[in-house]
Amino acid sequence: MEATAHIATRAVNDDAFKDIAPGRIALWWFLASEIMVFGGFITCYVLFRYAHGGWEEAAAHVNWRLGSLNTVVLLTSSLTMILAHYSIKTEDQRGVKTFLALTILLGFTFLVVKGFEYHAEFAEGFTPLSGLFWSFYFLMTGLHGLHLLAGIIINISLLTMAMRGTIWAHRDRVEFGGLYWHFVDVVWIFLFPLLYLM
Amino acid sequence: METLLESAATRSHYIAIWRWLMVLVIAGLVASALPVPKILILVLVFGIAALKATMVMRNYMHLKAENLIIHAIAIIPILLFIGLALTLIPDIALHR
Repeated sequence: MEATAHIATRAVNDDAFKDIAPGRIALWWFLASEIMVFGGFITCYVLFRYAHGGWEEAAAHVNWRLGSLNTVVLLTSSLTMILAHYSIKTEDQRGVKTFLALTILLGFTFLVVKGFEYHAEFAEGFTPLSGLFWSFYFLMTGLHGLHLLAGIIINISLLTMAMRGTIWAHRDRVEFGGLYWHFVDVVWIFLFPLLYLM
Repeated sequence: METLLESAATRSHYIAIWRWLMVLVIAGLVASALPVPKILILVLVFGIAALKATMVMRNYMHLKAENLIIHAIAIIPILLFIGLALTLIPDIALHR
């Protein structure tokens, strides 16, 4: 028991952990596990595509224009998210609310555009069972969409706290929400060329 | 507390990064339509994607100012899935 307490004290005092909020380390561990999830899917997609070939025909049916639009939307939402984080640091109350609201709006825009894409693809008869390409496509974009939805819910809770004025006691949460949001953006940066441009 | 001048500079920096990201989106689209061998398109498109991701991680996720331990946490899973790919190549990609 005493030995465990000693090890814990050493870990906390260790220089490597100095100046890092415990929440941030936890969040990065979470993001690391997410890298494994998406990295695993992306690796399998690349290997299967290389092994089987002939996916170009299926890939030609995805709408690269809407994919490009969504890329712009998501990158812009990363800008508004970092500006919300920056507004917290500069104690700009109006900025926090405005930029969080814009981030949420852009997140919903992404999902609506994705919804139109799915609708068009289903109308053409493409479903997750239409072949390996479509299985990967719906799996990866669907999982990414769910992550984005989780990010929107987090941002709505942050916006609610900002409206009530309680966010100032929990400023770190905007940074953590932002880290998660940017990670979802980074995942899309790789999914877009993989699924739309190749 | 940062001065007003520093505050404006930081905000401009974030906006400048966003402008570069937009330029890279267009560059990626142009690269994907170039009349060059497919392998070159692959290298260009994924090189640009990697550059975009690095810019977001370094500037918006503040990785460039992060502690070494955070870098280690981020790099370990990347090494693991590269290992996964190398392990699976003989079974999947070379088994045609």
